[in-house]
Parts: sequence; C-alpha cells; structure tokens
Amino acid sequence: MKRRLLLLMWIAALTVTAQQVRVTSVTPLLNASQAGFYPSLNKSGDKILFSDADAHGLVMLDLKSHVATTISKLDGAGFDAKWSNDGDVYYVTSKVDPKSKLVYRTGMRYSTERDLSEVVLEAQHGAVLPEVGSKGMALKGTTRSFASSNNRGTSLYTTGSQVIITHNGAVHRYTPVESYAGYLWPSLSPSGDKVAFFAAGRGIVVIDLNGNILAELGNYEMPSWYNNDYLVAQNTSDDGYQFTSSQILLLKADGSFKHELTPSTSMTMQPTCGGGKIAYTTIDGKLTMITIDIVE
Amino acid sequence: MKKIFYTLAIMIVAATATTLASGQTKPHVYINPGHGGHDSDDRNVVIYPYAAGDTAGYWESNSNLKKGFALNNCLRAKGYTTSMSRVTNTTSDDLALSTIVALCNSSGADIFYSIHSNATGVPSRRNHILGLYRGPTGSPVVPNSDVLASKLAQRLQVNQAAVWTSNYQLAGDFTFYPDWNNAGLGVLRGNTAVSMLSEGSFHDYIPETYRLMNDNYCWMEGWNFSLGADDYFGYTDFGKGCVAGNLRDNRLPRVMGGFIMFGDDNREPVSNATVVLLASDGTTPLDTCYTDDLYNGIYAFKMLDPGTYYIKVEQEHYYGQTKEVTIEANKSTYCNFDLARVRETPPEVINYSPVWHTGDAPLKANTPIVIEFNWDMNTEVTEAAFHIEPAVEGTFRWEDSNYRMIFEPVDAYDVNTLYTVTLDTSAEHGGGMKLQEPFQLQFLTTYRKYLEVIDIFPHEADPVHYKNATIELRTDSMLNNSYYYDKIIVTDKDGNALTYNRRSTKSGKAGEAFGYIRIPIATSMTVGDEYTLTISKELDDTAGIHLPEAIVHKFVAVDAGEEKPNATVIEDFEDASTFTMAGITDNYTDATLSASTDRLFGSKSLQVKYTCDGEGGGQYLFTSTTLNEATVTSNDQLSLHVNGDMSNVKLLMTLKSTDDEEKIIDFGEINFHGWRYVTGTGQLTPGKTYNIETISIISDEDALIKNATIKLDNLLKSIKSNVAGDVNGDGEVTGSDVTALYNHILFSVDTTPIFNGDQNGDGEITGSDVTAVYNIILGLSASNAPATSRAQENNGVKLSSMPASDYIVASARGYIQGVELYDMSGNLVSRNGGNYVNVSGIKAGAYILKVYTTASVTTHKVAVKH
Repeated sequence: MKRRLLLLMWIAALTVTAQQVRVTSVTPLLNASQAGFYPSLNKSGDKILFSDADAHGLVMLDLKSHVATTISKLDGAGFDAKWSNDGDVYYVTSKVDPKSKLVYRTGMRYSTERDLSEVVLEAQHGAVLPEVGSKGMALKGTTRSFASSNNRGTSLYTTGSQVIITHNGAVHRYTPVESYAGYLWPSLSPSGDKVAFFAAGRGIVVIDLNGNILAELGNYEMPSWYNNDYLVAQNTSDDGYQFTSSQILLLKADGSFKHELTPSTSMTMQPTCGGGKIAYTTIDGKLTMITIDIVE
Repeated sequence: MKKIFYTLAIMIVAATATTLASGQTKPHVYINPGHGGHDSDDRNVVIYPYAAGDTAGYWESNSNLKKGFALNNCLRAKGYTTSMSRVTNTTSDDLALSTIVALCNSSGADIFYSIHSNATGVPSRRNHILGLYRGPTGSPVVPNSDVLASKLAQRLQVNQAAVWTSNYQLAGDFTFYPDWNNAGLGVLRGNTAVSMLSEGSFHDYIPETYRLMNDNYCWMEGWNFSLGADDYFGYTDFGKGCVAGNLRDNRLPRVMGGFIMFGDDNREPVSNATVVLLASDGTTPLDTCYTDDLYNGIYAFKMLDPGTYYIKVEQEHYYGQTKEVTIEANKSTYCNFDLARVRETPPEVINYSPVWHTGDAPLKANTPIVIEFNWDMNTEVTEAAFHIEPAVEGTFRWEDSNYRMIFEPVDAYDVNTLYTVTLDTSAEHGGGMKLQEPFQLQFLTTYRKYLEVIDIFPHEADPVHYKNATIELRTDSMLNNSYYYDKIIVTDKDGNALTYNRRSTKSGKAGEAFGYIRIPIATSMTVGDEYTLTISKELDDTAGIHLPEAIVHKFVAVDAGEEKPNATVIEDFEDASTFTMAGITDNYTDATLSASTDRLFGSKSLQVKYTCDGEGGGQYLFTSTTLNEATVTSNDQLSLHVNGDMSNVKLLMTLKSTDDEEKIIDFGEINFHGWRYVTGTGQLTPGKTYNIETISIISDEDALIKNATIKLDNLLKSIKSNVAGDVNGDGEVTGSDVTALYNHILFSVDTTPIFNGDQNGDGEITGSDVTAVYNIILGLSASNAPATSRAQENNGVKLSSMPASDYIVASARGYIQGVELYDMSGNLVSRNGGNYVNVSGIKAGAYILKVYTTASVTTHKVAVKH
C-alpha cells in the first residue's frame, strides 16, 4: 500500500509540471507472481484481456469481481484479441500444419454471456485480420472471411500500407502516408469520426473518415483512444536485441500536446484504454491500471 | 535517391516473380534484414580503405539488406509470397522490435527470417553460423522453428568460399541466453510464424568482413536462405543452381595483416580477376564476372541450369586456371581456385640489416637480423639455408608476405662477440628458383644485455588508494613507447585487466637521465581486494633491450580516507593562505604552497610544489599559525594523509616543547603515488606538551624527480599506548580512560577535560554513558547518499537515472547478457537476464550493479529510493 501511494505521489509530482494531466490512481491488476501481456480493456473498462509473453492463450479478468476466466489455451490467441461492440471477444489462433508446414489461422469468438469459445472462421492459410466496427465485427481471411453482421457500422482494418474504412456502407482504401513495411494498430475514436493507426517508419497518424491527415503524432506505437481528444501510445527504444527503454505517453489527437504518463525507465508498454481507464504492462508482465484527470 | 532505390527494389521483385507448381499453396516468408540505418547500433566495422562512419564501408545494416534483397528475389522467382520489413537503409528503417513482430503476424507469414551477422565483441575472433529460435533448445515456442533453423544452417554451412572455424550452432534463445529469464530475442517474442534469427557469420572476423562487402557473397547467402526455405517446405522443383568461389594466391601470405586469420584466409585473395563461365564444350563463354578490389576474391554465377560447365580464371600476375564444375538443381556449388604467381627471375637479397663494418660501434645485444628479398620466399627452405656463428638460439618470422625474413635471438647475443650470418644457395623463392650466390653479413655486439629497473610502484604488498591510482616504472634507460600497455598490466582478483587512462600517461623523453612510464588507472578499484601488477619480460627500452625477467607485484586497494574513529583532526589544510615557507635550501627553487581540489576531506588540500634544481640533498620547510596551535604529548600518535608523487623525499615534522626541546616525527619516504595514510614515528618526552613548528621535505642525495608535487590533507591525532584502552597513558585502564577518550574524540583535548564522561548526568560514569556518547559520535558521520537523480555511464555501459524506484535499465553497444544487484556487503540481491533489474520491491539504499556484456563485466554503484 505504501509503495502504491509513493508511486502515485511520484507520478503526481511528475504530472504537476505539465499542469494539465493528473494521475488519480494506480492499481496493479495481478499478484506479484503473475504476469500478463497484450492487455486489452473493454469499452466500459471493467474487463481486461491478457495473455502470456508469447501470446499463447487468452484470459479475461473481471475487474469488479476479480474473477479470471481462461478463454483459450491456444497459440497466438492473445496477440490481437478484440472486443466487439456487443461485449464478445474475437481472436485468432495459429497452428503449423505438420504436413505442409504452413501456418493455418482460425477465427474464434468468445461469448461472455455464454462463457463459450467457438470457431467462427475455419482454419485457413494466410493472414486473418480483425475488422472492428461500431456495430459489428469481422475477421478478414485470405480466402474466407467472417462477419458478425452485414452492417458493422463504421469499421476499419489495415493490410499492407492501406487503411480500409467502411462507412455508410461504402469501402474506402486509403494510403495517407508512405510506409513500405505497412500499417498496424488501427482504431476508431469514441466519437467515430477519426481513425488513428501506426505507419512503420513514420509513426502514429490520425485521419478523418475520408482519409485526410489530421495530425501525425510522432514515431510511437500501439495507439489507443483514451477519449475523443486524447490517445495513449507506447514509446520504446532497443539495441536491436532487447528493449532499452519503454514508456506510456498521452498524446493529444491534434498533435498539440504530449505527456509522459510513465518515465522511460519504467519499461511500461502495450497500453490499452477503456471506460476512462488506461492499462499497460511492463517488460516482465506487471499488469497495471491507472486513471487520470486532464485539466484543459 | 531513396525513392529510386525503393522503386528499383520493387521492380526487381516484380520482374522475377513467377509461381510455384500449380496446385501448391504459396508459402509466405517474412524477411527482416535486421535494423536499418548507419547509426551507433548498426555495427560499423572499420576496414581499409574506409574511415570510421563511412556509409560505403562495412555496416551490418548494409550486408543484411543485400542478403534480404537476394532472398526476396530468389523466393519470388520460386513462387513464394514475401514481405520485407525494410528496403532502404536509413534511421527511419530502425523499426521497433514490437513493430517488426506485429508486421510479421499481420502479414500472415508462414516463416520469419531475421537476417543478421554476429560479432564476438572481444579481441578473440571466430567465424561460424548461429541459428536461434524462441524457446529452450529443442522445444521451440512456435513448433518447427528449430527445424527451420536446422534446414537453413545446413545450407549456409556448405559455403566453402568462407572459412569456418567450427560447424554451425543451433539453440533456443532461452537456452542461449540463460540469464535473460526467458525474455529472449525481441523479434521472436510474440511472433506467431515459424521464426528464427540467423547470425550467418561473424562480421568482425576481418576476412569475413571483406567478403560481406561483396555483393555476390551476400547474394549467395540470400540464395542459400531460399534453399533453406525449400528444404523446410519440401520444395525441389525450381531447377536452377549456382556456383561461387574464392580466388586465392596458392602460397603468398595475406599482404594486409594486423588481424586474426584462420585457414585459407591466411593467403592473399586475388582481386581484379576475370572469371568466365564456359559451356560444357570448354570454349563457349556463357557469362563473365570479376572479383572486386576489396580483398575477398569472391565470384559467383547465378541461376544456372543443371549440367557441366567450366570456369576459367585470368589475372595478369597469375597463371590462368580452368576447372570443370557440375551444377545441380537447388544446390550451391563452390569451386575455389588457388592461383600461382608468375615469378620469372631468381631470388636476390635486396636489403639487409644490421649493416656493420669493422671499426663501427658495436650493436645492441638483441639486434634482429633482417634480410629482404626481391620475391616472396619459400620460408621453410630459406630458414634451413640460414646459419649464424657462434650459434645462438633464435626464432624466425616473416613479414611483407614472405618478402622479409627476420631472425631474433630468443634472449640476447653474447656481449662483446663478433657474429657471422650466412645464407647459402639452397634458399629459394615461392616459384622454386634458388639464390645464385651465398649471402653473408657480420656484426659485433656491445656490453649491455638487460634493462634495469630503478624503482617501481606499487611495491610488493603496498596499500594503494582505490581511486585515481597510478602505476610507475623507472628504468636505467628510456623505454620504448610502443605497445607498453600490452606489457604492463594490472589485474583484479578475477584476472580482469583494469583499463588505463592512456591520454594522461606520462613517459620519459630523449635525453633524460632515466626512463619512466607513469600510467593512471582509469577505473576505481574495490577496497579490500588484492590486485596484481605484471610487467612482461618483453618490456624494452629504445634500444630494444628488455627486462631479464617478468615482474609481478601484488598490492591491496585501500581507502586512504577511511574514517579513523578514535582520531581527531588537528589540521585540515583547508586554508592554504595560512601556510608560509619557513626555510629552503638553495637547490630547491620555485617553491609554492597552494590549495588543491584534489583532496580526501573537505573541499581543499594543501599542495606543496618545488623544483630541485641542483645536485646533492636539500630541504623545504613550511608552517602555519593553526598548525602551531596544536598540542601534542607523548601519548599522542600523529597521522597524516599524503598524496605522493614517488619523489622519494622524506616528510618530517618538527615539534617544540614549552621548554624549547625539539623533536622530529618522521612520516617516511614519499615512495608512492596517490593518497596514503601515513603514521609518524618518533619519541616525545613524557609529561611535556609540544607544539608543531614546521613540516619539512628533505632529500639526502640527488633528486630523481626534479619537479615535485605533494598534497597534504587531514593531520590526525590519536591516542598511543602500549596497553589496549589506556587512553590517558597512565599504564592502566580505568574510568578516567573513558573520560579521556570522550574528550579526545569529541573535543580534541587531552589535558583539561571539558567533559567528564557523565553524559546522562546521573553523577557517575557507567555503560549508559558509553551508549549515549557512542550515538553522538556516530551522529557525526555524514550521509553519502546521492543527492540528485542522474544517469550513470561506465566503460560504455549506460544506466538509467539514479536513484531508481522501479527499474534500473542498462544499455551498451553489444549484447547485455545479464545484470546482478548486490548489497554493500556483497550479497546477491537480485539477478536478471537481459538488461534490467526490477527494484520496486527492494529496500532503499546503495547497491552494486554488475552488468555482463559479451565484452566485459562492469560494476556500478547504484541507489534505490522509494
């Protein structure tokens, strides 16, 4: 308790200098002996998904009851698990075919109501990418796809150097910035009118639904919308083999403000937002949730 | 330019894209050619003719990208689907580890190749293949990753254009980096494809560095990667093969030396040769390539139909050669050539030394005999043709690619002896032609045989202050300034050599009466540890005369400023202005007394400087009013902190009693460097009280050091008694000794007690008084906790800001294998693989952090604060 208080005081002291952001709580989510990676908070911020360091398996932790539910024990399940608008969890597992040596990926849905995982997209070769929509969810495969509904509202995913936005029933493919290696981590703002994604070699880009660049926020990774105006992101450095620093940043979506929520030596990474809360992990899997106040 | 390169890369990929056999699913290969850019972490190896930092020189980021392009094109030609994490080589291509993993996963790749080359990070060199996959060895996190690594390694190992020092090595990264706590390599962590990281060869093995500069060599590695993928997926129907090889002189040692070489790499690569691929008729040219001028001799012919071919090699200084090769589908064929130089005239001696004639001055007793030829010689035969009279045991070495033969006596020639050297006509050059006439030379040796040591510091068993230590060697002649750092080594108790501050090294100059070298040690030593100074027998003077035998001195690191609990400071030397000269002899000039920031205590020490300008002994006396006020009795022990300069003068103190009796306290010879705590010797008359009159520096003979600088810090007074606890010197230990001790420590008085020892005021001196005063004494100790947060750097290893509350993170240019945190008592508190330690649950305080890299182990004092 004392340590938590001191950490809070430290973070508060750090934020006072900015005079705009105040950390109001810091909560470890797991016991000291447990580790969690690839966290993903749901929309209301009362449940969080996490996995192990190799994205093997998927666990859902209810932050109110503190009950942990194992959703999957399969390979790859934890890497890019997504919450759908109806509270279900979609994830992709991978398996090496022993004969062809090819990797086959299977689309899965976990129903939180029924506490049941089921295959929604049979194993296929190639990429299976989640498309998150305001009204539904899809899993885009190379040969076959799955959609929870035909009208998924405003939905998006990235493939190669394209961000694909479906809005009002029309599909748009945008390449607002050059990036040979490709785009990652697309997300729709809570208001549904802005999209943030990461362009390799370029950084975080915010665009509108017509593909117009609204802001470039810097070479940070894993953007996640905190609210309509702010995102959190990861800022790391490495020596080519291991991380040498890692921290969580708060970024204003118009690019006018940046704030260090954690110091670069904290080795904090993989941020996620939901319900006004921010969660992240550390290099050794210390899953933590914080709340903040932003004073404009 | 960047855009042109990018477009060109895409065009090459598109132009070569075909499909696999119909019905087969295209495997998808994700290619990660390492990090991009030409920054400090992109592994620049400086090789001739490129300067450090020249982007045209060797960078791992360059060769990785060349291999990546080759692999990409080969796979596309075979019908694979590919993705690359970069196609340019800029800092913006330095994608984060988590980004590379996410890109691979979202691409739907089946396999992931991370292309790298290795480096030892230490002076030793090797060259082998290392394949790493995630997980423990034999149990990859992603199944089959070990199979992929094995298939690739077998394909890389067949490369006979390289020189391998051992067979390939395969390992899981958890096993390979046992101290990383299963953190593993960043590009494999969370990667859902069958994935591996290849260290294809060692880029700091210089012959390999030159090979990696060659486009064909990198292309062949990319091609071999594609064969590894074929083997993994079981594809055998591509139907093309390749041939490559290395052109070397058949006997000429590599001309450019100065680096470690193995096997055939010891022979000169043949540059600028024309290599022609001929059809099976042996005459029809099909293709031509050229070896470059970067000392690698590499050629290659790519994507050939299976069958018989001939390879013809031509170079103007070599006899041409043609070899038959058989190309097989899906295979790399290697065909190396050992070329014979054209040597058309017999060997001749074109230069030699020593050149000595009767009547010339005699030569030093270890003069090497150097004979230079017009051709590279057959070393074995020529050594057999060499004779010296009188016979002396010696060794041969060859330089300049066997054009120069050097004979050196194992020890030294006899003194005052005439030697005759003969090379008979059996000596021959590399082409087999013999010397036409015998060659002969003579020389007479001088009287001197060995280098003599005058003085040395540290002496055997010396205490040496742990910080800013300096070693010094004085000899009877001026030392050879070349390479003496390799011959004078200080090692810690584990045998690790301490680093020197080379820029601050001082050494003798021509014309000086004796030779010396004074080397500051760059790193602080560990108090209490034993260290060893080793001076090699090979250390020599400018005449090449070496020591008769090696010198080994063991010494102990101490803290000269260590607190002395029962002593009081009677002079702190903080104010130099209170000191004045009290006398000096004529041959001591330019004497000054000044303040110095090089101190052990407070903010200043007293610096005493003078020049000894004449012959014979001399002395220099100085004093101060504060010094004069101090009183000393026969019960007192005087001790002084002295920073010496090894000037070998004596340091004395003159005391005078109230009845004008003079006494001398001797603080010994300044025969050391750095700070030292010295205790005075000398008998005062019991019952008398003395004042300190002067401090004097005295020499009895010619000074070896003309310009001397000595520094003084806290002069201490403590109680001297032959009976333990007899503080007041009355011969017995009683309560009055407690009173005397309290007053001595707390109030610096010995005669009239200010305090009688009744600290708690209960009217008697008991154990509770001892406790009370003990606490007061301890309370006088200052905290040495760090006051501000700051990053630390030591030996190229950087640490995150101190004090730390959550993590201490280390970074270095090479691999960090692990870190260990110890408390100040030496107990291991925490150990972690990788480059960080979590200190959030560790008690606040000072700790020692050891950082293990492939190159070194560094030690850092760190602070934890919550």
